[in-house]
Amino acid sequence: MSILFGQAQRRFERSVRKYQHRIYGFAVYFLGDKVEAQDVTQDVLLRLWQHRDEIDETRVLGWLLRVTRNACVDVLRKRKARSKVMTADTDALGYAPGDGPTPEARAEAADFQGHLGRALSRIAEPYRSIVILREVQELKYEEISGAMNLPLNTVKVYLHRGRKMLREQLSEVMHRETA
Amino acid sequence: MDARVEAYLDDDLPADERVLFEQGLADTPWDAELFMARQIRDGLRALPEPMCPPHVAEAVLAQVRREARASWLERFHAWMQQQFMVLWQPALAMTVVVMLVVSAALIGRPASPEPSYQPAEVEQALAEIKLALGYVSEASRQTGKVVRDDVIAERVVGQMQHALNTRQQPSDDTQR
Repeated sequence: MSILFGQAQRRFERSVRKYQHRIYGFAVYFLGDKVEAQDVTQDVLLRLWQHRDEIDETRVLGWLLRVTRNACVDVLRKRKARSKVMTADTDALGYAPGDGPTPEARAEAADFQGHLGRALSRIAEPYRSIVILREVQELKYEEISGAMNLPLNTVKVYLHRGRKMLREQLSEVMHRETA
Repeated sequence: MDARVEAYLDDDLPADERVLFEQGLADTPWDAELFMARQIRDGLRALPEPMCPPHVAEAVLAQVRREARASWLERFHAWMQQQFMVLWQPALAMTVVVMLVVSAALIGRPASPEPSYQPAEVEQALAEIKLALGYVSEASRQTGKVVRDDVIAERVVGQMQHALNTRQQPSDDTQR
């Protein structure tokens, strides 16, 4: 019995090392807050341990992303309940300087990423999750469908809408900041 | 048109439609829309993947190890309890039974029988005592000497005790 338990523990440790950054990355872009993203990551990983016997190993990623998204939605709900207007501190997320040929081009690219992060944090659910999973984390449609518990076609439609919303948000953000 | 922009960016349009789409875009507002869409997609894909700080995973693994240790101790404790029930409970029961049997044997054991004398025997013994004491008294009076207690004890009391004991012996045998 203790041998099985030890194996489960080692398998869990491997899963933690494999998926921690993906969970954290999703939470960071979803919430726009690193500290909250760390709390969510910790919570999700502990839930993975608690449910280790129920999860098929081939579907761990989908399960993790679904639980992560639900945890992030809960965090947003609590924020609203506290009536605390929090805007995503996307500047603190530390966007990498772009890889343009000149310092100006790199600064411009980093600036654009900042706008993009802010626009992303303003689009509604489930579009935000789908855009993050598809465009940032580069998951396949099937994987997103599994993680979001949505039919494949719905994922495609929502992604299309999400991108459109993002374009609109970005135009608005850029327009506001240049005005 | 939105859908075609997305399809174009995703490389989902067939080659001939791609060419037509590109030709149709020239000098239209959709050209700017496509530029923006491409910029967004490239920008999102270039976003850095945030690295989870090591302390998060460490905290999780530490908690799991603590739980695992606690769980092992709980299992050991349960096993010990089970062993106690399996091994010690019958042993305890046996001890209690043995103690009860021994106690019952000790309590219920018949006491050694008291010597029982017939009233005639008692009367005879009293008469003999009186006779003996009278004899001693008369002897003292005639000789003017006092018989010592140890002589009385040896010659009178001892003899009488011996006589009583020998008389008792046959009645013990008959009881058995």
